[in-house]
Amino acid sequence: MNTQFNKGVIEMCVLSLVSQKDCYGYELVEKISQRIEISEGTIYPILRRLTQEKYFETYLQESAEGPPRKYYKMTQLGRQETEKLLAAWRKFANDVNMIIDQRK
Amino acid sequence: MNKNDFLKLLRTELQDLPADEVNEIIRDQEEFIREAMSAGREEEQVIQSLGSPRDFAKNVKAQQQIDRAHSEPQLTKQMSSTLKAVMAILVLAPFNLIFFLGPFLGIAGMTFGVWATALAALMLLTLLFIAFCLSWLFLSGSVWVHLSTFFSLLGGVALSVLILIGVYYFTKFLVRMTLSYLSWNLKFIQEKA
Repeated sequence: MNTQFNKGVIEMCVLSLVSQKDCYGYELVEKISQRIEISEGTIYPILRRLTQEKYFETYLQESAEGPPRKYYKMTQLGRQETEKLLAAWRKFANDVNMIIDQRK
Repeated sequence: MNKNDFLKLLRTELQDLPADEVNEIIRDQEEFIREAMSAGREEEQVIQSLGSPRDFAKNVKAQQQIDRAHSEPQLTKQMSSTLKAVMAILVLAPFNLIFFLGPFLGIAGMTFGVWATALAALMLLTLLFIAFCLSWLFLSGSVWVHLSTFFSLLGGVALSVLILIGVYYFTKFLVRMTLSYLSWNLKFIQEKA
């Protein structure tokens, strides 16, 4: 997989996953790395940034297996921005596909 | 390297950040390693996947510098924070700013030049204006010549003030553009797989 494609989209994957349900860090890494090759250290800086930008709030919740986990929850602001970003992405991906599929 | 070594190293690298922020970061990394291990992964391999504590710390510091510059209300302090943010990104990824640095230094230098010139002009013209007003009564010659000198000097003072206001807003704009460019750049550095 060409890693050039990864740039910019990981943040969008994180936003999209958290907008569906509250997630903890490792869960996000697992879900994304099932499909996209990422180095695992990249997720936390992104989570920290998105939290600082007030897209996410965090809370601690006890887990069955041990110490509490930190969950990331989307704010109203985060939801708005995610909607915009996803709409732009869908249009872009669609346009690229149209161009690729013309090549016959 | 095991988990405790990694966290200890990370703490050392982060030591000039505020303590509660460091604790938060260590907590997050600790949670990550714990979760990965309870999912059945090797400690050694998990640590490796996180990359070096030094790079991690540089990344956090660059981000923090950008945030600080963003929230600085005073323009002069904001400018110095922005320069520090540029430095922090240079340390993190020296080649990332290669196309940015030339134009940035050029424009920043020019802006500085305009500041200096306008300030100097303002001071000089104000002094001349005051001197002229004080000596008006003692000058001989046509009153029209004096009036025109009076208004030229006044106009010069006003023009320098206008240029200063303009360059003030331009500097603000430049700082804002620089910060958004740096944020965008850091995003790419962070997502480098």
